[in-house]
Amino acid sequence: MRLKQLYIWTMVTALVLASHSSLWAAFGEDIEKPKPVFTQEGTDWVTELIPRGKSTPIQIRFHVDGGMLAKPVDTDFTDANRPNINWKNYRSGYFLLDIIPESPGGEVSLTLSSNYFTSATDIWGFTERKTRTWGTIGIKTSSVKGEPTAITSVIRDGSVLDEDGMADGKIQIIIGPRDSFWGYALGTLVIRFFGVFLVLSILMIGMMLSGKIFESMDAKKKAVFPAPIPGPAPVQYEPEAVEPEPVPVEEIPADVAAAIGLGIHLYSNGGRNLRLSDDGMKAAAIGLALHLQKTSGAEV
Amino acid sequence: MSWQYVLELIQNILISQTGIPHMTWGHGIMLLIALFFLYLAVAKGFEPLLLLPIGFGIFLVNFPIVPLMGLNAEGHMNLIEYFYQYGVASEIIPCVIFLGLGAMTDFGPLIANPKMLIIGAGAQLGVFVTYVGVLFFGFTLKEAASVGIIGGADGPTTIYLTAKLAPHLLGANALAAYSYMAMVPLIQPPIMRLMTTPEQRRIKMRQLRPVSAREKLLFPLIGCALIVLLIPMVAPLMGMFMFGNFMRESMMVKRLSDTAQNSLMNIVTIFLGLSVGATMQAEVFLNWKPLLIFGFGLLDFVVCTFGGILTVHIMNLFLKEKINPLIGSAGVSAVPMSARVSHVEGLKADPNNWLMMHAMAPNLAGVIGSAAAAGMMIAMFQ
Repeated sequence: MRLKQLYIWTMVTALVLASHSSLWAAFGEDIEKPKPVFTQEGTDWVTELIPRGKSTPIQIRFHVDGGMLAKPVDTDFTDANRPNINWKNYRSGYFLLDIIPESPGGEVSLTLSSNYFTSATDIWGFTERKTRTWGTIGIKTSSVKGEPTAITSVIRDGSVLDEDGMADGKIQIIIGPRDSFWGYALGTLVIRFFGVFLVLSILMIGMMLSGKIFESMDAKKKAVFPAPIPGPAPVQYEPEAVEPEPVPVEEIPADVAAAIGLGIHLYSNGGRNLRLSDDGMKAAAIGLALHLQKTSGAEV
Repeated sequence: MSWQYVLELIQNILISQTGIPHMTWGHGIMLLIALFFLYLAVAKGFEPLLLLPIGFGIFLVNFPIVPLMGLNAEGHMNLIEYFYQYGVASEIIPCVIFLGLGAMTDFGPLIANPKMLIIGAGAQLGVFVTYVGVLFFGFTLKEAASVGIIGGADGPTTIYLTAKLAPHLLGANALAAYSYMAMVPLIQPPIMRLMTTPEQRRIKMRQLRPVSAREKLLFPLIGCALIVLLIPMVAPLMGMFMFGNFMRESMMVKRLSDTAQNSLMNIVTIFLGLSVGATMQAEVFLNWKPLLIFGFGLLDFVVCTFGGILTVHIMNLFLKEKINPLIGSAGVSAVPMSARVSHVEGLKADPNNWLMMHAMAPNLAGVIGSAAAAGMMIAMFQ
């Protein structure tokens, strides 16, 4: 028991120690970083990747109106060049896009669409370059039933979204589809916890109903094949009182009784430490013989 | 042949063909951990059926350059890698164990009192609390889900989910799950006493109604259909579980049922334990994550016990016939250990209060509940 207690306290201590921020900060490494593969479909580019927190691949389509999109590239998004950004919110990663507008300083309309996007998904990019602030740049979200959710953003050459900040006929932007990590984690958690209740409640109702059915079936069965009805209680006949026949009582003379007693005593003690006179021995022998005759029926 | 050549030869053999020069501190620590778990299994009788093969698996793979895990020079799998890939990574063994568990299980107490299923759901509270807790420590969503399920106290479910979502945590999760399952008699009673009054502990429950053989036979079909319809992702586990139970209750395939309960179960347990232990190589295992997993695993068990008892208290607000809250702790699916703990605690409060059969119902509900939670988690990451 002490060993078990020691073990438990060790674990509790480990938990408390590990809760120190300097220790747990090291665990935030990005082991699920998406590895997108890009393919071109007409003028669009489609990427297939496994986002963070998923096991199956998804697709994101990049479409540009008013310009031409070069092959997108997935990019790292370290704290060094984009501070205060939590990569966990960007489950599909970040993309570096090169777009040639129809004219220098022109506007293009960039649309990202995917079945993976939800109404809560946003596209984030620079909203203020001086303070290096990132924010939403998704202007329009269209969600048609059965169609992938599309998020559109209008980008001007040389605007704050353009990496070089110059209206030079080339737009380069870094963007990321954003979903709140904690919003997703907690939201889905609550739903799933109550989901377990719901599933087991449905099972409970199913079992209660089937239980009732079985009970009623058993009751009907008992009604069809009733258990043998107990008839009138059998008359208990009092056995006739039989007088026991009188056993003839044999009179034993006192000396014989004494001899029997002595004989039994000698028999049970094996004659140890006893010395008898001849008469005494004779009496004992007679007593013993009589006793044996009485108990074993031997002829003496 | 010169002496120098002989010395070179010996040096080469020592360096390239023996493990001694490759021994590291990590190996030493892991060997000590292996010996610790072997000690717990052999000397202390902690879940020996699993901790012994797991401990020996850890012991074996933590000698340097042993060809047991990974691939060999020809690109073929090594011995235990075969067991792991075909048994655990392919998710076969946990499902086969569920088959055996199903064949061992008598659902009678649960069929007689289906309300207990709610306790099984409430006792999953720790799974979700731990999930959030480890997210704060930088675990990924998948890792968090696999750690959270430890509190469900169901070894095969933990292994199944972890192999699917975070295989690199398999050893730590399995070890934590089985260790704490063995410690249920120590972990649960203080929480049970803390959360109940002596009067509540003395509540006597009505004797369960008799359940007919036909009801028991149809339960796996009805139960499986409902659960699999609602959570298709849990079909491999629940399907095998109910199949095993159907074999048992049909009473027509006694040989198959016996095999599932005994020989098959024992065979796969050997391979499961050895493979899980073998994933705990020093270079993979020695970091802070396993320690955190052990810490959170304990918290998980505590919160699951709390959740089960709390659920009974809430149910008692609405029920005419009160439930003894001690059986709430049996909602964690350590079968039948946690039911036995409820029973023992009940006897301490009232020597004439026999809770065993009543506690078996939430215990079985816990098995279904933890499998349902696992199915939910898997579906979440599809």
